[in-house]
Amino acid sequence: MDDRIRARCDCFYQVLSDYIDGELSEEEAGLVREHLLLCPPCLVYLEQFRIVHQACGKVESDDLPADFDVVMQGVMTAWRKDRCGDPEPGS
Amino acid sequence: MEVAHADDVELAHRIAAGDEAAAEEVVRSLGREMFGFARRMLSDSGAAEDAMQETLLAILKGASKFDGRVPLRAWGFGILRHKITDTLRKRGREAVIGDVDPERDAFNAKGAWKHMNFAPWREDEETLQVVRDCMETLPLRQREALELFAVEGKDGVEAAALLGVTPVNLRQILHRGRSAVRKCADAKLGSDED
Repeated sequence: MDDRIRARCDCFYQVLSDYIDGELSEEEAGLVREHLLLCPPCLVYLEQFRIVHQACGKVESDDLPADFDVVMQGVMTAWRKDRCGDPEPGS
Repeated sequence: MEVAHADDVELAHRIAAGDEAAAEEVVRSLGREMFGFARRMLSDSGAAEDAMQETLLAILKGASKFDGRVPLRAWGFGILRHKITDTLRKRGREAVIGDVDPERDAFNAKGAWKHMNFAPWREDEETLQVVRDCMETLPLRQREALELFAVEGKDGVEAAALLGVTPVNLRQILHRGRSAVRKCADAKLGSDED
């Protein structure tokens, strides 16, 4: 890919995800930055790609249901019942 | 047979023998993550809860069959992925692999954009919602890749293992998925402008 990253939008596009994820070598990342200095459309494209990337990364925002612990206990109860036919040990 | 994940095999054996602490360990360590993944894939908390419960129960009941060739976590997520696929299929969404680059026709012979009129997006909740809506239109494989990559972190090795692809293939699926979401969102955000 080498120097074409600096000169061609299609080559820039091909390494865009790798650039955002920090997967490129320092030399390749430098070529991407040089391309961006010369190419306003690709700069806008990069920013849009970043927003997409951030939207996918909203892992911590999952709000668990209020009864989540009850749901998890339900799994354990169903497992006990399957094994022993007794939903509550000792009952 | 090589057992690469001996600790997980021991844990599974304890579960198969009825060890409550071992079962709780698995349920607690995987439950939240599985719920989060299922909810993002299914866009429905109730359906996600069902898929997570069914998966965890399948792991506990099937622990004696776990052979340690993959991590217990990957094995469990494999079960969850099947349940999510079944649910989506019942809704009429087929699990199609997106194998075409969304921007394949976007460049001229010199490698420049044919259309260069990209407009910046506002970074606000409305934009994020449009992006999330577009994610739901992705082929299942691409959507799984994006979500699992976000869960597993940037090297993506485990996400690739969970999807049964090489890390190189995962990167291609990720790139095309992001590109498809960008294109979809840009069309919606652009068309909303006055």
